[in-house]
Amino acid sequence: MMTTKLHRETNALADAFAAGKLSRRSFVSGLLGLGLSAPAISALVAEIDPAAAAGMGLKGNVRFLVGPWSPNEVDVQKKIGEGFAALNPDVTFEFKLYDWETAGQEINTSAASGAHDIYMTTESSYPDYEAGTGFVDLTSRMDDPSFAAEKAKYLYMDRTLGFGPKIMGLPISFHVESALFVNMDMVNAAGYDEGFADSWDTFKDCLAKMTKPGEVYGIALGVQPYGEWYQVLRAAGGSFLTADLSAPNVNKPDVIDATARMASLFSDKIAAPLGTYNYDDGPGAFAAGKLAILSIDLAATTVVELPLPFNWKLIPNPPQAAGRMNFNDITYYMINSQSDNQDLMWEVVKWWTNGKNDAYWADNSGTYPARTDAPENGYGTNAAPQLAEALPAYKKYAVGLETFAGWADVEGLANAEVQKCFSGDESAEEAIANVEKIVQQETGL
Amino acid sequence: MEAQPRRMRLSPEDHARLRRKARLRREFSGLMFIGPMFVFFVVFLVLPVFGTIWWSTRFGSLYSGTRFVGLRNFTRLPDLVGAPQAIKNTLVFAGASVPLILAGALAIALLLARLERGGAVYRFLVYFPVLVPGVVAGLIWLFLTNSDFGLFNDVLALFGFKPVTWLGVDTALGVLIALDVWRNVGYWAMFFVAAIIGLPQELYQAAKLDGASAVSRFRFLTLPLLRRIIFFAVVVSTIWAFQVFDTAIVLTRGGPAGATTTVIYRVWQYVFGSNNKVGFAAAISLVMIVAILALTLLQMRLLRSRRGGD
Repeated sequence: MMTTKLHRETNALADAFAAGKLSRRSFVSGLLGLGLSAPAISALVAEIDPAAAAGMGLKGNVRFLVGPWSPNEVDVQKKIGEGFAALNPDVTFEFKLYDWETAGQEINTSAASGAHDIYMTTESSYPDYEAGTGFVDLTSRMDDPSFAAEKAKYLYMDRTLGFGPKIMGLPISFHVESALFVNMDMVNAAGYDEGFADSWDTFKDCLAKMTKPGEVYGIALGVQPYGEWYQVLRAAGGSFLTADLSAPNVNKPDVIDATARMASLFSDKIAAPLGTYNYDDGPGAFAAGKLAILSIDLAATTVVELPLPFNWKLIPNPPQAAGRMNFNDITYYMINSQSDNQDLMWEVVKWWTNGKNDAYWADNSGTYPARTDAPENGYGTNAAPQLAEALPAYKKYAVGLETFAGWADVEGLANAEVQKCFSGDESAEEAIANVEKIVQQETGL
Repeated sequence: MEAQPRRMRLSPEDHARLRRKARLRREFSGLMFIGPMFVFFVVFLVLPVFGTIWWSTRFGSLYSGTRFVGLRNFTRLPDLVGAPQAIKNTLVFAGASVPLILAGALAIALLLARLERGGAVYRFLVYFPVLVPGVVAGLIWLFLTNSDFGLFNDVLALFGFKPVTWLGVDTALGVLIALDVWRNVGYWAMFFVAAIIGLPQELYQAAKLDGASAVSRFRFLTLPLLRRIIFFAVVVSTIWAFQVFDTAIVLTRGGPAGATTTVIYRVWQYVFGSNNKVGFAAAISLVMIVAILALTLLQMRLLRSRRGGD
């Protein structure tokens, strides 16, 4: 029965491809979706369209160095590679994961020694690569008229171009660094509905009502060392540097107030004490009902065991509707300038970031696709429904990082400094003054 | 008349030459033995120290080149946000862990040295944590200290106590110290056991005959006789304590709120977590080397004067 169904669907795809109703890429993607192996697909394509199967005569081995977005990162990468290999049987792939903690050093060392061809990096590191020579400037390829239609489909291209004249990578996703995972059953039990987070007062009152000392905390903040406070800073009208990058823009009354508000959640004991949960056990505590709200990045949706035994949803952080803003950063693929076969690498990067594969990768990585055509290419079929549902909100309030080299260093140090205010070791005024000092020290201003 | 074999007589010059030759052979053998170690010492310690001095005057990164900035990396150190906290954490860690480790090790060694049966088993059990790599030890303690299902809180719950946030701001450094004691106490205990077993028993027998109590024998015999090994242990364990890093990164990543950020952790942050900060990390490292050297010299001076200047 299953075999007959598979046969019928394969034939339907083959007929559509032979009739020119389906592109070669869609045909291959469709066959992969049916579970056919790369050699089988390759044979099918060759039978129907020998010219297409011959492709561009690409051959070689492509070595990837990528970050682990989900526990299945390598499998997801291999799946995308299978599609490319089905069209180009002489191309093989290798995938190696780096550690997020040491990503910069691993990428730099590898790029300098020519150990890999294609690298995944995030926007926070992008300015440093933009300033260097280790990766290929893709500007001329991106500006090629034959690529214009595809280029128009990448999101936030103005941001990518904002780091300088060169284009070092093609975007594959944008990622929200701090979101609120909300147990809606608990919110409802506390007498609130979805609007509980529209004002600080209702938000805090709801947290207080959900907190049961020794059993459940209303919220866990500070479980990850990045992203969280930066959103508070931006939502309060601040930034690390002014728009012209000439002076610090941190020490403002609204920023101090917003930081003090966050700190009050700890002093009022409705936030889990710092150190209670970290990135690894926070999602588990949320799933176990120990936390009503968890502040963490969206990739946590690949860590937490779904489906959860309660209704939940994702909302932007910080919670207030007024001035709401969330920080997202783009993930890119870059090409090592030492790689021999640059044409092959370009074709591979294009394949990896096309609408279909972008949708597939983002769908399995707890993040959002960086292509306008990803939704119609299947984004949301595998990701948590809550993630796909929250996409419009996160796009609506999105801000990117500031375009100066060393932004990530400042952000990490600032996040740690603000935690001293949460722990009561410093006042909000002291913490913010110190963050401004960090900005000055790290940028040399 | 039977010919008498002539006794070979060597001139004083020949004696001197042969003595010199024998000495050279002996010295050459010695050099051959220590040669490989010396090469490693130079390549992996002396040269990196000189490299650190060079890097400390540079701005840039390992892969994209650097430029000379003189002493700017050093002059920036006093103003560094978080530096006092990192120094304080390091000093508190060393100040607490070294006495606890050595006192614990000595106590365990005294007990182990008295065992007549099953000593090997107990020695293995005491030494076992030493065999656990720092990263693995950190992971083990991560599970032990988990707020919701960790062993420590389970035990507290058995006795009706509330759960504790073991890796919280006020407690994380204490947990790090406890982990360090757990890992290292067995190592020094083995040193002390070996030393105690080798102590001259006639001194103890004489002391007993003179009516010396167990405490007096420990105070006036054991401690003075162990002074050299204790001195060695104090110096080495202090140096190790200043270098604490692996367990801190696994257990707490320097947090929360910088509560377990140590000097070496900051060095790691600047080398691996930042861009263009290798020079800065090298400057901190150099200051650390000088500080450890100064502290070691101070310890040597203090301990030497206590034992009568020998």
